Amino acid sequence: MFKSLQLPKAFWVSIIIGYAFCLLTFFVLLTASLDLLAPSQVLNNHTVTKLTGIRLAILTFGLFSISFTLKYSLMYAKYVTVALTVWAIAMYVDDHFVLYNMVEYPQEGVIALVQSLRPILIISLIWMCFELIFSPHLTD
Amino acid sequence: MVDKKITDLEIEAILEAFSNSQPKVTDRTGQSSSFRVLFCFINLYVLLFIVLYFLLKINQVAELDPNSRTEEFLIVLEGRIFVLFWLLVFLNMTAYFNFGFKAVCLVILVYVLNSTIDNTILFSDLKDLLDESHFFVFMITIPLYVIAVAGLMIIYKDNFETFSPLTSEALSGKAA
Repeated sequence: MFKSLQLPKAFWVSIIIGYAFCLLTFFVLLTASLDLLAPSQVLNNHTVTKLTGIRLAILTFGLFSISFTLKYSLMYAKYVTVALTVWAIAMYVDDHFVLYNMVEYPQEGVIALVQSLRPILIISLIWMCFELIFSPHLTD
Repeated sequence: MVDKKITDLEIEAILEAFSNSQPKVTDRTGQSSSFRVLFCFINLYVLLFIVLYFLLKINQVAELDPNSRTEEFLIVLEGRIFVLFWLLVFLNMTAYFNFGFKAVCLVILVYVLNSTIDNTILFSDLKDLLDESHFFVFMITIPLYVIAVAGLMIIYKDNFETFSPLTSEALSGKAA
């Protein structure tokens, strides 16, 4: 029986946003051309695509892990969610300080859309953490 | 003549009974020596790279070498050092106040692991950058830093609330 059935709707909306973000990024990786990137950048398109692919794989694996651990233990689901949230925030901060100085992403189009949706993904993950940590009715 | 309620022998017995607890109360950190060594290493590591950053920055301004890839390294180092410096400040604060230390360790661990993955993916193609000795040292020593932070998180004792500066002051205030 899914222990996660005790979880409120907001949690499920947050996890669906996470999966939707993964799908959108996957779609962008398959379809969009990174030739739009500025030619004066330090890093080449292949490297940026590789990095995005690896990050997407980690994020998808993390979201699947949350869904999987929810089936067995809320405690482990909480740990996985917190770890994934910390990683997403660390990645976002690190990109602002390092990556965006080396890669100039296009200001318009689907790549810009994915970039602008990253804070929403982080908010969703933070919300999931709050639900798992502070909801009083949740028991393992 | 004052009539003593307690004899010298009894005073000695009381002092002897509390002599074991005295060093623990005076020891404000309450942590093992290996913890202190790792803690110093983490502080020194970040401070060393802050110094390296400023030295490279000054050197770059002084003499501009068109073949050098120092500029790319400086972009990486600047961002990483800025974030690590503030995380180090929080680490020291949480260690001093004995509150949220493991959480900050977890944040540093995740951040540094993410940096290592990024460095490996992004700069593996830039052979020129890896030829730069300071960048190579930076790349090589990051796993050491990860191990140190993980070790710090594991050996940290968070059950010594009575010895932390905040709680010991609170207790002494109550006693007064």
